[in-house]
Amino acid sequence: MRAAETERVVRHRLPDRLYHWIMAAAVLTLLGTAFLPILGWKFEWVTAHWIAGLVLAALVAVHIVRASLWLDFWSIVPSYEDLRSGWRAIGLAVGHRGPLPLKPGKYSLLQKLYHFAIAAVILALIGTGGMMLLKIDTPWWRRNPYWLSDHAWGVIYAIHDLCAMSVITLLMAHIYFALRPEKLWMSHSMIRGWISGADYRTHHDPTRWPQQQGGE
Amino acid sequence: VTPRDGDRLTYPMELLRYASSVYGQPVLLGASWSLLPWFFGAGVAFIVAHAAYKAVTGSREP
Repeated sequence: MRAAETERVVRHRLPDRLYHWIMAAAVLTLLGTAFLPILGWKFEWVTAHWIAGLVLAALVAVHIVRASLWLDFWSIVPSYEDLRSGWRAIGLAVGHRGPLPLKPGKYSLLQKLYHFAIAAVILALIGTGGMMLLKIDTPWWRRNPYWLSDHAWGVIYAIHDLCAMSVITLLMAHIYFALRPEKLWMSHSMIRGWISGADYRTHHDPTRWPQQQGGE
Repeated sequence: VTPRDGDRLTYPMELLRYASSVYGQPVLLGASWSLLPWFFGAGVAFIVAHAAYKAVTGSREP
């Protein structure tokens, strides 16, 4: 086998892959326990829901610390180059002739915008969900539904509900792109951790995402 | 008005759910679950639109 075929570039290290898949399990548990009862499947959902919510909150806290201290935090933040490249891509899509979009660094502009959207929604869910914990008994505290007025609780529930429903839309788009044939090279890296050297050179700008090849 | 879940009331295509307080005044409960199919439909619409665009353009890259 030629060396070029065995080149590996690490895209997602094991802690990040574990974070992704445990978060996926937590989110699916939260969606199931939230919406299946509404759709008519009655079961005792509250305990599983708040436990999965605490797991998600803990995971997100760890992710924020890890991304800030150990990962390249700015790799997920849209840059001027991303915006310029996105503008070029829009121009091409509508038939204008012009310079080609730049290759992205580790993440494309659309991935960064998706991450921004899902992060905002998940943080809002965690914030409002954390406040809702005050309305249920847990092993650590007794419920206190009078902490806020009925109207304030209604607003918190409305934000939580709208964000939860928007997760459905965002998750559908996420899974759709993960399963598209031309994206499988990237999706596989969320399982095995690496992409091939050929995919690295084809889909990324090495100056914007400099990587040593050789695998984890 | 469509009664649902005991004291909870939902209104078709309303954005919010309300219940009646003991004084007969509306009390906000949260977002209306009648929006759920719209969020699901938005996901389906996006997927169909993107897949159709890709099929028409024949592009394998975004």
